[in-house]
Amino acid sequence: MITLDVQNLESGYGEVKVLWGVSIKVKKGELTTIIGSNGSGKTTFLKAIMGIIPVWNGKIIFNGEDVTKLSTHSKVEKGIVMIPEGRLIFPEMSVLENLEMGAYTKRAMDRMQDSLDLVFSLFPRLKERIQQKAGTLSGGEQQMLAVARGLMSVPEILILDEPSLGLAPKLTIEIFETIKKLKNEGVTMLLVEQNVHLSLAITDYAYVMAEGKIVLEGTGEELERSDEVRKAYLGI
Amino acid sequence: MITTGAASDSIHNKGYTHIFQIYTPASRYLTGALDMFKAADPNAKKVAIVYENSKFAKDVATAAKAYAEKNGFEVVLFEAYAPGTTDFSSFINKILAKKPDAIIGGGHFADGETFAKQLYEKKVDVKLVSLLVAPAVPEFAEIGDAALYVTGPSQWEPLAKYTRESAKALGIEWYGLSVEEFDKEYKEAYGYDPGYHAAGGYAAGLVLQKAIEDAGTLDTEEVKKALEKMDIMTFYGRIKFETGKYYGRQIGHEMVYLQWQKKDGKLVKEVVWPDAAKSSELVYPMTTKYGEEAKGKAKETAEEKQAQEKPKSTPGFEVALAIAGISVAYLLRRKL
Amino acid sequence: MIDVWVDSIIGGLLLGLVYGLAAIGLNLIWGVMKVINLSHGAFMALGMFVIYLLFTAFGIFPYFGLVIVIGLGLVLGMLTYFVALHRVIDAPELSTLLATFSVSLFIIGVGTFVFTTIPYAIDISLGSISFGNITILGTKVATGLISIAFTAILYVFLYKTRLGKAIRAVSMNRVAAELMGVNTTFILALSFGIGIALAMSAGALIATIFPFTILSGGVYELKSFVICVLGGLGSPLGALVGGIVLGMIENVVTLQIPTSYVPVIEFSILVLILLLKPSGLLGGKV
Ligand SMILES: Nc1ncnc2c1ncn2[C@@H]1O[C@H](COP(=O)(O)OP(=O)(O)O)[C@@H](O)[C@H]1O
Ligand SMILES: [Mg+2]
Repeated sequence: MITLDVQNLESGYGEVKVLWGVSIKVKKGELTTIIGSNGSGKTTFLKAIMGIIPVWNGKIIFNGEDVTKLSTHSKVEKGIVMIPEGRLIFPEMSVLENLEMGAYTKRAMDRMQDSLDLVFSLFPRLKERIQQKAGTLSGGEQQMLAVARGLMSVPEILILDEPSLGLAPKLTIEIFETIKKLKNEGVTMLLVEQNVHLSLAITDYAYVMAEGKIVLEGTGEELERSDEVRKAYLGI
Repeated sequence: MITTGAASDSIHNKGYTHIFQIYTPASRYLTGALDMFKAADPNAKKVAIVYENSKFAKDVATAAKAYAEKNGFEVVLFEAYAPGTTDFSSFINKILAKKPDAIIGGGHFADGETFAKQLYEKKVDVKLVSLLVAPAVPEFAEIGDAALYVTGPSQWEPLAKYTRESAKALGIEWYGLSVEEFDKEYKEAYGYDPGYHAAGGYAAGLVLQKAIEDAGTLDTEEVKKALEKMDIMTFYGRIKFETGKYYGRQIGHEMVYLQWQKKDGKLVKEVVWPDAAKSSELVYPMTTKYGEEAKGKAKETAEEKQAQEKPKSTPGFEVALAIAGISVAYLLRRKL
Repeated sequence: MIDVWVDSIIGGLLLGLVYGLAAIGLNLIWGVMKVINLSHGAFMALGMFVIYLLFTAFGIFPYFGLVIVIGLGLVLGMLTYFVALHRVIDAPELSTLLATFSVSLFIIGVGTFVFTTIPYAIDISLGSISFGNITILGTKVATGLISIAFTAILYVFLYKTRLGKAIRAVSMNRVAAELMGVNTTFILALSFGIGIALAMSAGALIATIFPFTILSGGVYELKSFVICVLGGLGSPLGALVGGIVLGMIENVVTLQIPTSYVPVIEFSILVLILLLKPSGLLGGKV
């Protein structure tokens, strides 16, 4: 079962083309990862999937339905949920209000209580701070809040853009453990990471992006063994 | 040239030697109010002058202030309000703090009407209020009891009783038709009551006719000499011209002062000053009305009201200020 | 003398609350949309004339007419958003500034054609409250209380309802809000609608206490800018406080200085606050 099928996606900013026909598939219940060096177009690709920037060419099929032209919020309503790069939490809102915003759609609102239980079991530290202003949380806590907020949306597919960015090594490992837990719970995920070693270790399938194109793909193990990946990203 | 409708003093110190003024000039617009005030209450001292910040009202107020001080009044408040002012609270607060006996000033119709209304709403306890322009306009009655006993100057009113007798009393010549005749013929010709604009215009013609008769020729310089010598009484009042520094300025004619009074429950204008022209006695102090009202039923009228005069506001200035403010905001924000 | 001070303070407070209400609308529009609404004053004037027409033509008492003014403001504001602002909302600020300015020109132009620039007034009275030498007009008390009520309602709406929270979320980060499934285009339109409804109702309330012309909005718009900067752009409570400060300056400080200094003081405050504390006295986000 394919949850997300992106075909030949082209997009960019203004006149500048960044993505030159990117195709990926995300299978239901699996963790799919895109790795690639800084500036290769990963974030741009996710933005195009979400409709934050327009798609120039290509198709996005979600659960068999063409969602290429849908607005961002309609995609969220269908269950395509993204935790953006840089977290983008609502700093002047309390932790609880942030989580409530995660459950904004009708679909998610109906299951808010269950979602809160799940989120608090995953991140007990957030529960202690529900009335605290989100802007006053530490960087690690803010990232957890961003993940928790994404989960509140009851995702059919959860897209994570560099969740470990800017985190201390200890917190990075914590985040990856959470992702692993979610994978074991059966959450379908598309992960974008620069931390190649940690992500390839837990992923089911992975793509390598360079200069707006997919240059390599395979299972996590396959890529970890590939010479190109070892040379370019693992520095071995 | 005989000017009518021009009440500025400064036309006459520019060196023009052939311009003669029919209207009482700005410098004497409100001085009569002070005379009237003194006559009604020789002990009253404190005067507040609150006027519109426009050329004409400022001239009037400045002259009134000088006159007041010369005549032993104490000017406790002398302040201008911006053209188009709708909120007089701050002036009323100051008036309440300074406790003057009389308020004089004003500017145009809309502001004067609003000022009078807000004075009344705040039950300001003064003995006399005299405002430019507004009380002379019939629509002033729109504000109901707020208009009651408010006074104001007018160049002329049909009620003004200038007669051959008043000319005799002053020892000067009477010329032309009577007030009643003018009133009647004007109404016959145009179908409505003559205002002071019409009277001033007619008086200008009358004065020229008299000057030509006196000169016995159409020669400009001869007519000019006749005008210089002229001192007559007409239906419009006395006419005499200055020949000194302010050449051609009107010095004979006096403003008449109206007061809104109640006759048979209806608001009417009465001429209360000067004595030579008055049709009714001044009601003084005006605050007696708060007492009368407490006795009667305070009825609220909620009818449509629409003022008559264009406001002399300058929205361009506010817009410019707003844009300047925003630009400053932008520049600062960029930098910080 | 103490009477005069008390009287002035109460007067300043009541007037300041209405000023605050107008400023809150401007503030909301800035906070959520990052648009400086130069049509704010024009919409205030429109509110004055709507309440006037409702009263004179249909006999609707102004305080009930307010409900209609709010509804109309919401609709007109949203319509204006889609007609004039939607296409330039992501463009640099100058574009939205010009867009709202042209809306203002349009309203004032048509308004001047219909109503001319002569003053109008709504002649109602709720009597007055007197104690000692202090007299407070019923209409002023009503406008003050209604302004507080509107501010409270807005506060509850923004902080306690789903839609209100969505508005705050958009003000903090539009992309993030869209990623939560918020239709941010609708929220932007709604925010403009609410801002305009507040402007029009503030205008309507002012019309019950002072005479007005189609150009009157300009003066109040300028005050709103000062209040917003004073209270902090983006802070509704700050706007109310800023409004009260301005009301006090106009009514209390003027007991000691000529009233004609007021615009100078207001403008100096604007510049000083921008220089010293650009986030405003109670600065912060919605
Ligand atoms: N908002 C933007 N406007 C213009 N160019 C952009 C923008 N964001 C990213 N880019 C460009 O697009 C390319 C891909 O960037 P991005 O997708 O952020 O890469 P990655 O997420 O893989 O680091 C880069 O060359 C970057 O400079
Ligand atoms: Mg990136």
